[in-house]
Amino acid sequence: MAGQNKTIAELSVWAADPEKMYRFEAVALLSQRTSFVKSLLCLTDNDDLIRTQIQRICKKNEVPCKIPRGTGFDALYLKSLGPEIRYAASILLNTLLASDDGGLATTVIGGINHQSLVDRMIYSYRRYLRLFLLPVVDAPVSFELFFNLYKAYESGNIEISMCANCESTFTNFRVAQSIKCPVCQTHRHAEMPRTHLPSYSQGNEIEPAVRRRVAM
Amino acid sequence: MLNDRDIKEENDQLLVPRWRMLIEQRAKTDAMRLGMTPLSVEYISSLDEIQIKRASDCSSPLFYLSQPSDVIAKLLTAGVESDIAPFDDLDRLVQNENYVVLLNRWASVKTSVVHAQCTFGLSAAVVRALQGATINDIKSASQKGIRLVSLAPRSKYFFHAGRNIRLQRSMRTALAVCSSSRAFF
Repeated sequence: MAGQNKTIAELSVWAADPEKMYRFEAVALLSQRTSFVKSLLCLTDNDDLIRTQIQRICKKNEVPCKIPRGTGFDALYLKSLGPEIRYAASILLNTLLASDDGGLATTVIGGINHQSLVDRMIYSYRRYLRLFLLPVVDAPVSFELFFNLYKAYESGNIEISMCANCESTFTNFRVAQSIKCPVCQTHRHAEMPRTHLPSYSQGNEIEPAVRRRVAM
Repeated sequence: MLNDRDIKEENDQLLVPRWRMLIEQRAKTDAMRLGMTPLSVEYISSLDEIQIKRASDCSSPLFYLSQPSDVIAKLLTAGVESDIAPFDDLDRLVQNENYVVLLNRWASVKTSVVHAQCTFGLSAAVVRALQGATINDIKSASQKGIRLVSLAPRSKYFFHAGRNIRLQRSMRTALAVCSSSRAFF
């Protein structure tokens, strides 16, 4: 009984901050791994309390709750990530960081505002899921992997390349460089010779105006 | 928060008049006044109307505020005294683009700052300036004779998005996001 009262007391402290609770709920719906949620939100509460809270949120939102066990969330083997992951990573990182200041407000001492970063990560990931109409469980890049890819980018393990064919900036891994652009691979873009505008064959012929220009 | 339809509408509303001016040769020699490179002029003017509409049909904004944050903040607080009447069609087009883009960012900032930062690429300083602005400030800032808006994707986006009929809207959005010239790299 005393233990239960203690949990309720701790929960009420948690629920007192609506902003913190909103962020926790958003993360819990994207990843149910207790250690990941704790690490991302800098929580110091005990695991049981966090797990209970995650289960409650999943139940409230009618999401099947499967608390993962086993390998830690921070294991990242860059060599094993294929073009599909690189494609998704390019979209996610471009969305996360595409503004003059990366959208990150700085703290008084000049460091990155952690809460702003988490909010932007949640937004970018949700936007990615909505764009391709993916449920969380079927996404090729999980929220945990997105977080790890961001950390890899921060530590310089992800390099940035620009495709000469479609001018996309895409992620490349320092340990497993690929010269192929994942965007071109996924979209099957026509290859553009440097001398003239190419055509999309099979019904996408070059327009007469362009053909005239090429001929000139 | 602006939804995907609003963004698509903005793209359509701004890209088609630019394209029309380019193909009618009214702006081709003055393309620099629209902040366009010769290559982007070449690619855009080589598309037909269906293709340009296809290229504009994506959920990522194709236009961004290209002036530095402090310039935009100053323009928003400058007042109506320094407004300049448009000189020609191109000036009118620039003013209209300024107004539409500023108004949409202003509406977005009022509802979700994170959305404004991630989708429209606004810096924290511009967000603060827009939060304090009124509708008259927006109208006045767009009439200062300064072009505030540039094309966000690089030139080859228009070629691939316009001509490749296999691309779905989600793919065009992904391409626009990845080929954005304001990306972090």
